[in-house]
Amino acid sequence: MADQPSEGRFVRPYAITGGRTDVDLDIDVATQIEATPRGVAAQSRYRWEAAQVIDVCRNPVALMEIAAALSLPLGVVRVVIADLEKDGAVGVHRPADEDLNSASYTELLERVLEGIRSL
Amino acid sequence: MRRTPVKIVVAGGFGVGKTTFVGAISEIEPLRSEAVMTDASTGVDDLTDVTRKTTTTVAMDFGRVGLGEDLVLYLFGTPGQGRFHFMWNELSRGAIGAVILADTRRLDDCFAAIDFFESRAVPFVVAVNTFHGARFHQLEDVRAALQIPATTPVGYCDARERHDVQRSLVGLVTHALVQARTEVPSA
Repeated sequence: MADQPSEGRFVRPYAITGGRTDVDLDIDVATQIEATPRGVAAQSRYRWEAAQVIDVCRNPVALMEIAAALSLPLGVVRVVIADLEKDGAVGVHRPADEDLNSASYTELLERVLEGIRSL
Repeated sequence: MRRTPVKIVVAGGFGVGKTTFVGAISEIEPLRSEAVMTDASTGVDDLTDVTRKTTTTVAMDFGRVGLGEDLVLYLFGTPGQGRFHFMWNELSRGAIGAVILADTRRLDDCFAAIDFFESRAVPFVVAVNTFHGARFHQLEDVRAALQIPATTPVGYCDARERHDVQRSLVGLVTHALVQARTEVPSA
């Protein structure tokens, strides 16, 4: 994509967001984002940065991975994703409440430990 | 397939080997992401050594390791200086914990990280990087110099060696498990 410059690419990052930085900060850097079929279908109608986000997250990827792939600051990508989520163009995989209680947290750590040992 | 993401922070001073550590175990080449720090997001005291700029771009490198089908681990290498605390806040939120990489020739570089994670009760281990070859200090001397409790693991780690990195991560998650079980006695 880097060799496909389009005019949007040269806009100052915070111009993309209209100066907004006050978005939903509950999107963690590791939160998985995935384009919806609706988002993929509508991709060509979005501006450069939003269209690129949809492209990068056809399979689930972390917020941080999207920012790195597009060379955009995290804060900017958060705003774009929050807008796309409102449109139903991407899904944000937020942790379920039951995943946050302590019993399932120790269970999660055990699975992580086993996973790292098996690498 | 929904995969649950988990995070581990790799902290330490400039040039201590954070990106090497991440790269040794990541299934992708470490990626770089940037965040912009403005004077609104940091304390006044933190800006004492930022003379002219009121914004600073912080680059951090991260890697990814799939752990089975439903878990994905992200490792974040993050700058060690105290003025980047805002980034540590962001990265350590919900993180399993931190591996603090230490270079025994510059132990001072990890004080800020230790203070940060200790004060927020984020589990951490100290990995003394043997990247530069020699083991200059005994681990117990390092522990004493860093004034960390006997319960916090301190070990050697050659950040270039996948096996060493894996062992450090196992040490951290084991430590985090002990801490989690201590906080909440199992029902």
